[in-house]
Amino acid sequence: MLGRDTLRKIDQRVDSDEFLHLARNVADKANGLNDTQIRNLQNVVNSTTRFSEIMNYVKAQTGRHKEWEHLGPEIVKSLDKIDEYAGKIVGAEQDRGEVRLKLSRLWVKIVVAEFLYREIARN
Amino acid sequence: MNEISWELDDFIRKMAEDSVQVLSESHTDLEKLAKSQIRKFWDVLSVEQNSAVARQLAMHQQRKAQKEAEEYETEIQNQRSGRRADRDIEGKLANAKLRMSFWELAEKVVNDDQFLHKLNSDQNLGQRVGKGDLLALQTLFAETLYSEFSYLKALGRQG
Repeated sequence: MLGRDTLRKIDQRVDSDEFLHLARNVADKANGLNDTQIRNLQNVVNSTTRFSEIMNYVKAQTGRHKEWEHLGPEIVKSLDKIDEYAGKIVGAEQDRGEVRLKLSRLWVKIVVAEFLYREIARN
Repeated sequence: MNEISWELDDFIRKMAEDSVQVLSESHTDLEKLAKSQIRKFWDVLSVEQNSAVARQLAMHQQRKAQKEAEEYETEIQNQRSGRRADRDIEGKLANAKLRMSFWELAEKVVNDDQFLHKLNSDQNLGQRVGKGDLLALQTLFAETLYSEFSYLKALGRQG
């Protein structure tokens, strides 16, 4: 269970321009995907208890599908950054895994919103 | 172990990334390793759920690649002595040596005693791993290695 101070720091991070740009950069590169594919990414992030599962999913998709060619590396960059943010929030403490997953879930929520918004704007 | 802790999860991921790094230092065309080789390793662990079976496979594949490498080396020697040989024999030799290295690495992971010792002797891990936890971690390693290679090959295609 994350403490109030940790939750406050997570919120501050998610509210930052830097965090928003991470999500937007991914949404920019995701124009080759359809709704189902982006939702699949969101499902993986929301359902897993392991950060490596997200990484493995993204890297395997990059290896499998041409439309992930530029998207995959951008997502990996975002996830590395999220890992770094989690380290700054709680260091090497026990909560780090949980913080990292929480940040990832908030990040992918923005990615999906930005992606869908771009879809509407295109149509 | 019902759930893999984030520390172990990170440890296995780093181990897979480091393995790719080590292989790439000895083999310039690492992305030429067929994904099917790593998939074979991953599948035997996830389907058979038996590290002893995986170890048998790894040792067999290593011997097979070694035998091929020896045959190609003989072909190259024959080429040098003026007899005709396949033009891309050097590439085939490099690939056989790459497969040998990969299966050597795989064999170490599914050698339970060796892998357990590696996990429990790492000071950064800070937790004890039991024999009952090994298969899940070995399978995770194989899965992560497969993803890393898939990614490496995709990046290699980008040039």
